[in-house]
Amino acid sequence: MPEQPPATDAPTPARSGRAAVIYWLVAGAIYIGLGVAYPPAFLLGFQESIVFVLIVTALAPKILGRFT
Amino acid sequence: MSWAAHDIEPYLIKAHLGVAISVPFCILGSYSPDLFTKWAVYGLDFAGDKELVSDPVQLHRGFPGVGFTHTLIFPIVVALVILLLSKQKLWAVSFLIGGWAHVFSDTLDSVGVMLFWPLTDWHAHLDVWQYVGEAGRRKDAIAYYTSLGGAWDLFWAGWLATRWRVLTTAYFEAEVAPKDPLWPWLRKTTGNAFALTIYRASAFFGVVSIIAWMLWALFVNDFQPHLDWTLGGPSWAPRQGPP
Repeated sequence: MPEQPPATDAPTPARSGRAAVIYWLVAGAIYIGLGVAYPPAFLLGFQESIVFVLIVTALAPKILGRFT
Repeated sequence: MSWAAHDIEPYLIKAHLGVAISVPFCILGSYSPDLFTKWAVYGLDFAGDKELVSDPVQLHRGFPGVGFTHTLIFPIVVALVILLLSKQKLWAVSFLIGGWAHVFSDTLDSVGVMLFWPLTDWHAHLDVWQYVGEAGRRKDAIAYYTSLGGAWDLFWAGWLATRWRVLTTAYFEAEVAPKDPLWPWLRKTTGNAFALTIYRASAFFGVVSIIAWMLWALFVNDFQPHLDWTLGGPSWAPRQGPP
């Protein structure tokens, strides 16, 4: 009988890719909520989003690491 | 005028032209026509009650005024300055493409742009939606996102959604960072997370702001909260042609 490869818990590329897409969709939904609530603070120019995107980018490896 | 299309266009230009684009300089070029003047067009507050100039249309798209920023020649001149200062052809060409993308996008409204200035001050305008900048930022947002302007932005956001992989870390590492000398310098100076942020922020803001503005215009704002996708709309907005 051919030997079966050992089972592994390592995340597959598809699984980690799905998690990243969901992560950014949630981040986008949060920003949309903030923008709808108060447009002058969040929707007047992309510079308003830089701090938010920086936080989301910096947290991504930590948070995605828990789900993949 | 276009609102968020300018935020998204550089990524799709990069996705389709590949190595020949520096995304930050393309974004800078895309923002450049409005960078120093839009606040004066709208006035100091969100509602548009604190006007700064008596004729915002003349200021924004005319001459005398700063309408020369919305011409084919303006991005060429700035691109040449970038080339002279940096010796980076990639940055100069990217700025030029971004600037022209903005100028051509703005031909879609009812005021249009002086494409061939200084040879002529004739405005190219396709009248797909009304220019409402003179009414202040709040009314302009309502007019734009309930008219075909909003549909134009949705088109760009939808297109970017089909090319979402250009925003991934893997794409940035393989296709963006190694091909533009700006990134090694920025990474060394500010760190990888900040460099990735600078790369993604305009696309992120472009997409989420389109959705947020449309939701706000249709469900939160109480002035004309309905879609009007007729050519030259919205119908409630005063007709505004070139200055």
